[in-house]
Amino acid sequence: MLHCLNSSTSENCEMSVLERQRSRLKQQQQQLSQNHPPIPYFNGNDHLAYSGFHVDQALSDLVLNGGAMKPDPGVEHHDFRRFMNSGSATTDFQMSSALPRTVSYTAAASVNSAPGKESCKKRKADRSPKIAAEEKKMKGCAEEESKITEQNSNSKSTTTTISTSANKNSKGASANGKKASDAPKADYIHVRARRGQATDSHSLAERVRREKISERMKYLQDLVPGCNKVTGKAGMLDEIINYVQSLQRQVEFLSMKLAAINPRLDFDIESYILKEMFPACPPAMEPDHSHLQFNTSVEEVSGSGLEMVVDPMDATLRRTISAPITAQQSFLNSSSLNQIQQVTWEDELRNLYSMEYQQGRSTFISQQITGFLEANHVKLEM
Amino acid sequence: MSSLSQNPKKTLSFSSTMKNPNYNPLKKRLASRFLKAMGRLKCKMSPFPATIEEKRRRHRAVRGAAYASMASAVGPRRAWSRALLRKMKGRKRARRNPRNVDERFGLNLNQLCDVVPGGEGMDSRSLLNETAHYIKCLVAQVQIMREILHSSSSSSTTL
Repeated sequence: MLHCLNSSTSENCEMSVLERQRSRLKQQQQQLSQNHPPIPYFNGNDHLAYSGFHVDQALSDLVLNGGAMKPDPGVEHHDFRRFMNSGSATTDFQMSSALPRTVSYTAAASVNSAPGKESCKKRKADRSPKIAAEEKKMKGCAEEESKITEQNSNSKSTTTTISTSANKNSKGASANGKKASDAPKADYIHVRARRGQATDSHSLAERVRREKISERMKYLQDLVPGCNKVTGKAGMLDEIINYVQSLQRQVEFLSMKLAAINPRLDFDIESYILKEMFPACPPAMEPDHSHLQFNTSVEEVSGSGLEMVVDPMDATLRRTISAPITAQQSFLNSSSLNQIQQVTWEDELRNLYSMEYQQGRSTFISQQITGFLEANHVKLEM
Repeated sequence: MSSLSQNPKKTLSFSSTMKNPNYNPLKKRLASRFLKAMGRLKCKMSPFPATIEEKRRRHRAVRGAAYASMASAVGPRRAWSRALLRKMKGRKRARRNPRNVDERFGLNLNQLCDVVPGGEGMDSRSLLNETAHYIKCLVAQVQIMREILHSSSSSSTTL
């Protein structure tokens, strides 16, 4: 067997790989009765169908590829299926202490982290250095022999020795190990059996990139309101685009309003606004020539300002504004009347905008808004 | 994960504790800059616009001030702010990269790079990053403008 393994490492022939695997399997099956401890762990894991399948597949992969074969995904996978369908075979794999270090390693790992089997990534994180190391070793014939001898020993001891030796060699092999651990059926070490995945490094990189993109999409989903109902990247992207467009339209609209109101706005008002919005902000924003005006207007503003300071946010601000406005009804002229109307009109618009967010369609509303705006301009000019 | 290590700012925003490395939170900076810009604008603008053209001009000026203050508050850290600043300064030397945003993931990112400034020469991941930050800044800017309007309208009624 050893010489077969030695010769096989230099080759890249699929059929020989299969033959090697089969021979190895027979060899290991002969050593089945030696070890029993791994069984209960794996039985426990069978509850999780997916992860159990992972384990079985991983184990079978490991078993059959224990001889450091070149990647042969398609053939191996089919063979594993056949092997695994026979329940006895799987248990046999599990029982075998002759299973390569990775298998007994899986036993140890499963013992250590019982729920860890569910996530492929966890296994990947745990094992990537070790698997890389093992991968490296398997390329060396001499090490294979040592492994084989190790296999015959106690399973625990094998894992420990392998882990220690793996850690030594893991430095330069992290990238390879990642690839090996990512590729489910390609390499001889299978840690996570990601089924239905391609095996290149290209597809690997693609998968990583795809995960990152989905990460970003999730973050965007949190940012954009009402994105939870829509699933799928395309729909979410549409929602995001609509949201950004609606935000831009809002900026337009608000800037238009600000431009309309601006002439009545004094510098001191702005600095006051800044202060009230951010109480900790230093008064460095005040323009120089506004001090006098500031003192005089503070009194008028303070009446309404107190309420404003208490509730700086929009919804409550509306209610507080109404109080001082009603108190000063006697001073109202036509312009201020229009402004009151404007205030209430702003409420309607805000409601409209909130609706818009939920619906995601605002073209009609924006037309309404522009219509209102024109009407209000007319009123203000009167 | 390697993705986390590659984009520490993103992880920070994930944790939502700090938005930027600056001391002041984003909204404060936006507000201060915008108010400054508005103050400067008011010096130039006539108190009562007679014609519609003047009104439009003012509106455009305010809008430009809003975007400019947004971009300058963020600084050149983000691609969209850089693009906005370039537009403000009138420099059209932006690198016209070919549209390579349509990657194999089938996302229709063309519209997105139309909407988000400076979204042309980027791959999908960074485009999504920029979009997220842009949305945050837009939301903050809109809030600021609304609050200004509120307080200004209320205070002007009392005057």
